[in-house]
Amino acid sequence: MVQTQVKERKGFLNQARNVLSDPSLLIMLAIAFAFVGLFIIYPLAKLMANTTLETWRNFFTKMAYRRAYARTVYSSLLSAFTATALAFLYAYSIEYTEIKFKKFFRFIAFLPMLAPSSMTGMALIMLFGRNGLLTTKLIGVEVEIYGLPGIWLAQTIAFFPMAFVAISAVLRAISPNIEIAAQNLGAKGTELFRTVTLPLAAPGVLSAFLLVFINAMSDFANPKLLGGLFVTSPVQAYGVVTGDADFGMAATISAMLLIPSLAIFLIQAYIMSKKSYVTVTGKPVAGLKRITMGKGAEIVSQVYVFLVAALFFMVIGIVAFFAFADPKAYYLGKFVFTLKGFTETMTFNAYTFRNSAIIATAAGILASVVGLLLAFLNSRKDFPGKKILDFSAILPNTLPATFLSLAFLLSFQRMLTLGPIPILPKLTKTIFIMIIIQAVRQLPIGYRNALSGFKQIDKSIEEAATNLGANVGKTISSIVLPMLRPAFISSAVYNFISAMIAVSVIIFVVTPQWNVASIVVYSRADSGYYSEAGAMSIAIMAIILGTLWLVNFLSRGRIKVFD
Amino acid sequence: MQGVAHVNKYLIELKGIHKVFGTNAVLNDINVGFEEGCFVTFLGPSGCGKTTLLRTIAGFYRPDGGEVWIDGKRVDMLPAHKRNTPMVFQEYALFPHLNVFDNVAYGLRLQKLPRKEIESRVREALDLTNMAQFKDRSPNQLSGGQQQRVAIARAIVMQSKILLLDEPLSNLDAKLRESVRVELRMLQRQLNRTFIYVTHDQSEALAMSDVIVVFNKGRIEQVGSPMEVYFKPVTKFVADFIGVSNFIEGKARVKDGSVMLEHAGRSFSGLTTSDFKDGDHAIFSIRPESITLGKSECTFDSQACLPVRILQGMFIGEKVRYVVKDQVGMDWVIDQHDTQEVLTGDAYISIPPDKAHVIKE
Repeated sequence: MVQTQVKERKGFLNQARNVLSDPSLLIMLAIAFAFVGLFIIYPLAKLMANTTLETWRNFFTKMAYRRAYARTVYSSLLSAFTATALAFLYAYSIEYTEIKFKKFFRFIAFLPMLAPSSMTGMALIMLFGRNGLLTTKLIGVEVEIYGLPGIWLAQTIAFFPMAFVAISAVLRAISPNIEIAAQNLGAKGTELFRTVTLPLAAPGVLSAFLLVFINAMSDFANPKLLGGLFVTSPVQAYGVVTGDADFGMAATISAMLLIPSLAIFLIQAYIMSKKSYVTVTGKPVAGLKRITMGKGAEIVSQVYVFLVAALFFMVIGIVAFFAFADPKAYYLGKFVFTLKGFTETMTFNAYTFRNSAIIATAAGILASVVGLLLAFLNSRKDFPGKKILDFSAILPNTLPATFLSLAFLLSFQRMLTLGPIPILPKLTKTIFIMIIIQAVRQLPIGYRNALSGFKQIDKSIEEAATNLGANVGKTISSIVLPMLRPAFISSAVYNFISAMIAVSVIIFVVTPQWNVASIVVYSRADSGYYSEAGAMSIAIMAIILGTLWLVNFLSRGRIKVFD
Repeated sequence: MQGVAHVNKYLIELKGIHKVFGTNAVLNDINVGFEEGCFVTFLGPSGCGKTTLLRTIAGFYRPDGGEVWIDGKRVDMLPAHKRNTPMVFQEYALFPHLNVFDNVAYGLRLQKLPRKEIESRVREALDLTNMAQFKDRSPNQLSGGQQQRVAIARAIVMQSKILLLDEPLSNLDAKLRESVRVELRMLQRQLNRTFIYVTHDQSEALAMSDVIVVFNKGRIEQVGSPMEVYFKPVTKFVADFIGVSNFIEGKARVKDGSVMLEHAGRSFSGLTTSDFKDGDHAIFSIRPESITLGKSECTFDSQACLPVRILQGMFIGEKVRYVVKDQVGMDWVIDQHDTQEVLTGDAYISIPPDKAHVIKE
C-alpha cells in the first residue's frame, strides 16, 4: 500500500516557536552551534583573514609557490588515479569472484590504514633509499626513490584502503539480480562489465578518486620524507611557518589547497543529488551468485590480490626489520637482530604513547558525541539553520588536513573574546587543541555514522515508546541510545585509530609537552633514525590491532569497525 | 469514572475534528462516538484520513480544531505519553535491543509497577497471544507473524480500555492474515475492550467489526454495522468501495414504497432508506451475487431481465465471475455460485425485485 507522506506545518516562524517552547532543544542547539561556530567556521574565517593582497600576489607571481602547487595537483592526480584503479581491481576480485581467502584479503586491504601515515613513505626509503635494503644492500643497484616516484608510490599504498572502502561498498550494494538480468538478456563477460557493472559502480569509483585526491593534496608526511627537491604545497607551507614565521603566506598556500577540495565537494554533492543508481536496501539478495568470470580470469584475480597483499606485508615487514635490526651492524652490511633498540625507544618515548592514547581516546569520544548530537538534531528536530549545521558537520572532510592545522594555530593562540567577554582561553600548547582538532577532523565520520543509525531507527519505534508512556528523555535514554550503541562504539573506535596515526592535521599545533607517537614516527624518520621510527610504528600498529581485537572480543564480533 | 453528573454513553468521542497538513485538509469535521467493548474499524482508501484520525486519538497529532474525549475526559491537549492509548503499529515497531519479555514489560516498567506484578501481567499477555515460549527471544529471531503477536501483547498488557491498531495485518501473507483476523476478533471479545482498527481492506472490515466507519477524502461517509454498510450504503462511494457493485442511474419513480428506474428499456425496482419522490435522481446499486445469469429468458415477470453478451467468465474457486455487456453498452459484473461450467456467448441476466439498494445523491 502506498503510504501518503504527511507533513505538518513548516516555515521559519513555526520552527522558531518550536525551538523556544522546548528548553532542552534550545540547550542542544546552543551547544551544537557553539561547537560548529567556534571550531569549524571561525578557524576557517580566521585563516582566510590572515591572507593579504600581498600574499596572494606573491603566490601567483613567484615561481616557487606556483611550481609547488602545480606539483601538488599533478602528483595527487597520479596517486588518486593509481590508488583508485588498484583498489577497484582488488574490490572487484573480492566482491565478484570466487577467489580463496576473501576474508583475509579484505582485512589486508585495511592494513595501511592501521599504520602511522608516514610509515609507507618511511618503508619506501628503507627498501629503495640510498641505504635501501632491497636495492643497495641486497641487489646492489641504486634507484632514485626521492621525488615524484616516491611520493606517487607511497600515496598509492597509503590511500589504497580509503579507495577500497568506497568502491567495495558500492560494489556490494549492486544487486546480483541486475547483473543476472543483463546476462539473461545476453550480456557476456566484458560486455556485462562495461554496460552494467561499471556504470552502476561509477559513483563509488568517482568518490573514491576524489577522496584520495583531496587527501593526497593535503598529505604532509609522505611528500616531506620522500619529496627531496620535489616540494609540494603542504611541505612548503610548513617551511614558510617554521622557517620564516610567515603565517600570511602559509595561509594563502593552504587556502589554495582548499579550493579544489571545496569545488569537488560542491560538484559531487550536486551530482549525487541528481542521480543515484544504487539503492542501498541493506538486504542482500540471498542465494544468488553472479558468475562473471572464467577460470583463467579468476586465477589472475587471485594472483593480483596476493601481490597487493605481499606489497603491504613488505612495507610492514621492512619497518619491523628496521625496528629490530642493529643500525650500526646494518651500515656495515651485517644483519644483527636485537630487542635493545626497541625497548630503548619505547622507554624513551613512553610519554608520547600516553599522550597519544589520551588524545585519541578523548578525540574519538568527542567526535562521536558531537556527531551524535548533530545527527539527532538533523534527523529528528526542526529548527532554523538546519542546513548550515549539516553542511558544517561534513565540511571538515573537505578541509585539507594541513589547512585545518594552520587554521587552528592561527585561531587559538590567544584568548578569544567577544567584546569584553572572554569566551575561550588560549588553546595552543595545551592538550585541548590536540583533542579538539582531531575531533573536528573526525566529526564527519561520527556524524554520518550516527545519521545512518538514526535513519535505521524507524520513527514508529520512538512513537511506540511514547505510546507506552515514555516522555522524550525516557525515549532517548531507553530506546534511541541503546539502539545507537554499536554505531557509536564503532565510530569512536574508528576515530581513535585515525587520531592515533594522524600527522598532517596536528603538524602545526603539536608541542613538545604534548608530543604524540605518530609525530615521533615522522620526525625520527625525517631525521634518519629509521630504527626508532620503525619501532614506534610497530608499537602503534600493535596498539591499533590490539584495540580492534578487543572490540571484536568484547562485542562478540557484533561491532565491526571497518564495514 | 469521576462521578460526573452527565453520563456519557461513549468511551471515545470525537467532536468536530479538523486537521490540516500544509494546505490539505486531511480531517474535515469528524463527529463520531464509540461505545465501550466494541470492535470499530476505520475503513477507506489510502490517504482518506483514517490513520491520521487514529494517530490523533493516540496523540501523535494535535487536531487543528475539535475535541477528543476518552472515558469522559477531554484529552486532545494531553501529550501522547500521558494518554494510555496503546497502539499496535503497522511495522510492529518492536524495540530491537530488547527481548520479547522486555518489549512487553516496557510500558509497565515506565509505570514503576512492582516486579512481581509486571511479571504476572507480561506472562498473561504472552499467554493470550500464544507467545509465552518465545519470551527470551530477540525480535529479529521471530517471524513476521510472531513479531506481530508481540506487538499486540505489548499493547494489551497496558490494560487500557482502548486498543488502537494501525493496519496490523498488512505485512502478513494472505493465509496468515485470515487466521489472525479470527484470533484478533476473539481476543477483543475475551478482553471486552474497545479496539479501533484501521484498514483499507474491506473484507477485513466486514469480517471483524461491530462498527465500520467508512472514510473518504477526510470525511466520514457512513457509520454502521457491516451488514448496514454492505447492504444499505448511503453513498455511491460506500457501495463502490465495499464489495463490488453494479450501478445504474436515472430519474426515480416511487410506487408502493419501492423506487422504480428505467434502464435499457426495462423497469427495475429497489429499496431505500432515503426519502424519494418522483423525478429525484437515483443510483441503483446491485451486488453481483444478486443477479442470475442464464441461457434462457427469465420466467418471472417481476424480475428485470436483460439480454447480454458474455465478455469473460473467470472460475475463482467458490464461484464464477462474469463480465457481461448489455444492449446499451453497460458492463455488469455477475457472480454465480454452484456452477459446473463457464458459460460463453449470448445470455440473459435477471435481477429479482427489491434486490437493488437505492442511493440518493
